[in-house]
Amino acid sequence: MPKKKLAVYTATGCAACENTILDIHYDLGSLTRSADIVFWPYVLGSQWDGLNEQGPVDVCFFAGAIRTEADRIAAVRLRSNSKFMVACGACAAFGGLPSLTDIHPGTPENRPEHLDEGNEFLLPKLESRVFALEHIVDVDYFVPGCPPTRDFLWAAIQSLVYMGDSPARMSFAASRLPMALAESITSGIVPPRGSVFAGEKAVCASCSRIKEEKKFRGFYRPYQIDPDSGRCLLEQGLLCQGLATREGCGGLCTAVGAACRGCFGKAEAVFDPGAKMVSAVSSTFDSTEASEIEGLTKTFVDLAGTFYRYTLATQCALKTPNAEETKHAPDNS
Amino acid sequence: MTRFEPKIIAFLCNWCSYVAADAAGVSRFVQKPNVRVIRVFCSGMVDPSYVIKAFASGADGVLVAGCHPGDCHYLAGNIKALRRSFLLRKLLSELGVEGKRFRLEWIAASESPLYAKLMNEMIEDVRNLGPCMRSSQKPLKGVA
Amino acid sequence: MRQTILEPLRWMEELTRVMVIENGGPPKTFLQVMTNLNLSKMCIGRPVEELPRILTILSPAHHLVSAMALDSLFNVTPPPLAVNMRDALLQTLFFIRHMRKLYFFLSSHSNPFEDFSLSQRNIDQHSVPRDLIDQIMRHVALAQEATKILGGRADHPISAVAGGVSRFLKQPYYDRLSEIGRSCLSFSIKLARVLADIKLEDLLYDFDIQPILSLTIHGNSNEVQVSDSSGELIYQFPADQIFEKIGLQQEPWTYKPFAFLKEKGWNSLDSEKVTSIYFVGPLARLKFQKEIEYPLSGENWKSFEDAFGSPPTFGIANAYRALQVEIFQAAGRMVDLYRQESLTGPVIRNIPTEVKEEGIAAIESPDGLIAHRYKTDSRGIVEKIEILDSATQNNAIKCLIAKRVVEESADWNHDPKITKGRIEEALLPF
Repeated sequence: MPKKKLAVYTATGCAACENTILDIHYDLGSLTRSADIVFWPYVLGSQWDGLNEQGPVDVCFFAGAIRTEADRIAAVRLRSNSKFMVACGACAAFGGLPSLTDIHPGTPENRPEHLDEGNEFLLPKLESRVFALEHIVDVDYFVPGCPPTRDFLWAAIQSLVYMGDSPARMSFAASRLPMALAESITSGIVPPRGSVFAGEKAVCASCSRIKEEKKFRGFYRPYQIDPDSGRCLLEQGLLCQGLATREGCGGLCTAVGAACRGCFGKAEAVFDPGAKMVSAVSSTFDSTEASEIEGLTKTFVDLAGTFYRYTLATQCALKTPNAEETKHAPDNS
Repeated sequence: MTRFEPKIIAFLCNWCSYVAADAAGVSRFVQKPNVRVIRVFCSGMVDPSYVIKAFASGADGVLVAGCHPGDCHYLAGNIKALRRSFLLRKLLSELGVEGKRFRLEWIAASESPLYAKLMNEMIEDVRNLGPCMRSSQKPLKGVA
Repeated sequence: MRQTILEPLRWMEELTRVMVIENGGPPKTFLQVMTNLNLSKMCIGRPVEELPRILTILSPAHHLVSAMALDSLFNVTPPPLAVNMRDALLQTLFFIRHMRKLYFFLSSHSNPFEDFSLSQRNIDQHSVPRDLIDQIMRHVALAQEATKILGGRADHPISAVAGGVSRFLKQPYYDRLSEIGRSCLSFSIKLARVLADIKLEDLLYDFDIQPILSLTIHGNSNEVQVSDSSGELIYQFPADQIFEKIGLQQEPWTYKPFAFLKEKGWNSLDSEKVTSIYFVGPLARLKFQKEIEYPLSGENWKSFEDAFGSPPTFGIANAYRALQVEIFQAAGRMVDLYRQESLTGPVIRNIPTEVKEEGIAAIESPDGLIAHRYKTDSRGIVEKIEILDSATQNNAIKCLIAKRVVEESADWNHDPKITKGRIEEALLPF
């Protein structure tokens, strides 16, 4: 088997995704007989001309959202060089935290004004809004999470490197992936495009808290109460997004007593995470009086910023970019 | 320039509001042609995602109409719709869809004049607000 | 005019490059940060208690300073257990951050992901034993496990909340933590011994930076201290005045603002004597320290002291040594704080009862002083945020370092790649 070539890159975001890859370093070392990491500016100091010399890359893990022209050019370049493009982390997959800036559009602040014309320093221009990777180029697979959990990232790397060639390794990956995905990678078939390397159900399925009947008497902000351990956070009046969010983290945040904010994106069956949450939360209001319900509703704050915390660019049906916005690609020189 | 003609999606309950709309037509009340009616079995089944999907697909206004409280064919479906409406309106307004574009009304089978009046009123309200965010845009993938 | 761009710079958390413009005369060097997160737009309108979770996008330490700013905003004092847990997390973050930097530095002459048989063949005088590099990463992984226990998640912790932390630890965690702590401490001492035999000056392009001010927070008094190049204290001010004393200057050629002391006023980086910019991070902290809390055995420390010079000079090699010193200090504190006595208590958090509408906090993060200030309305919805992230907004120093390397690089016209490598190595420990 010829060695596979991997590339890793981060656009606008933070280094957490790359650090997660670094953290599996110990296992990653075992990959070296089957794959080489040929392009990774953060750790290897790779340069763009080096990428051209390398020739085509097999799998590219792209993290970070598209916020500047430089991000867009990087995405286009890596796409044209790679066989599989993987959107790694919430920013690349859904726009992530950076896309929060687009809830209330307007002119971007703290941006030097005189940049646009005659810019001798060639600082990349900002895009009109924050895009997820799939808005700019075709994406083959997604590894969601902020940052992705080590297990799924490692499973994704193994699946795409070995493609069924090493059954022993595949058993780790397969045990962590949804059945359809697991079957295709163990039998050496390329997983269907658009597959998400995470669970299928909602976070509630793996959250260890006990869920009883949901009746909402009042809404609390996280600083206002100390939730009982072991009981569903939503039932205690905290806005927890677990029921609209894709499973895979194993209920990391709820285990610590912090409510889920949906970094894995919406669960498979959900149309729009905000709509799902509105439906779920308000159906538990313990009242039939319009005025009482209205009063209860007034205590909620910042629904949009909570429900679409990580997913505004791709999963908020009202805020996804339209075809015109994603166009105007600059030349890729 | 041509006058802005808003598109209103009306989710009407099969047992009351739809009958009222039907009767309003039969009785030849004057109604503006901006409404697209979707018959549903109960206002309680209109999930918030239907409303958001309607707006995302280019609607300028959405009306959900059901039986008066207590008259629901399924006992309390309309109360479910009522519970959801406040939080949904709040979310919509945070996303830039004004409160007047989404209405929840109780229209009994016998209230066909009320239906015609409410509809005309809403169309004018929405016309004054102008096109909604997705009104003239081709939706991108993910929104059917 | 000739323009040379060195990009992207290695080991930078944000997309960064160096642009050199030669127009006759000495070359002009610009260190450009090309990522713009627009944090204030991200945070305005959010409920303030969500900020610790949002602002970890900067670095995990921002989670902690953000939670402390919430304490001040809600006017609550976290119970001792919570303070210890947060501190334990912070020390672990120090350990991880510095270890990673050493890992980057030590593996810079080889590809750590190279096939083992190949890498053995490519050994030259610069190579560090592969085994040591692997061990560093093993201990980073261990420390990551500890952050996961203490912070809920490793890279973006979530456990610090207004008035405390969000949950108690469970019994098995105490044993695991003390195991991790001991292992990290013994390795950090071993690492220091191994590295003592390596002459850093041979491994990298070492030079001293011109005398410059440094800024640190004094642990117990919560005073920000400004000292000159010899380590002498010039003046100090309370940490909650930090945004009155430090200004941010936005230049047109980079997305990151520059932090400077308002008192001295901003002077452009071109001028010969730059007086208003300052220096943070491990080396700045070390200069201030009169003694080391967790000394190595006497003679080892002696060798450190000799290497540093007295007072330590602001050199690149010394910056790397400062990382090592902080690593075993952090490991020592980890062992202390991981003990069950430190991490048990009757209360984990105090519930706030008021909203003061303004909160401010500053701490020493692994990369240097960071501070947050929030203004909210009476319901705690964010209206304004100010963030001082010294590690990146203090990039005036980094610009000066890059400039210096370019100017001194005799190879400049032959191979920009060598210059790039030198810049990267020089910027890494700051």
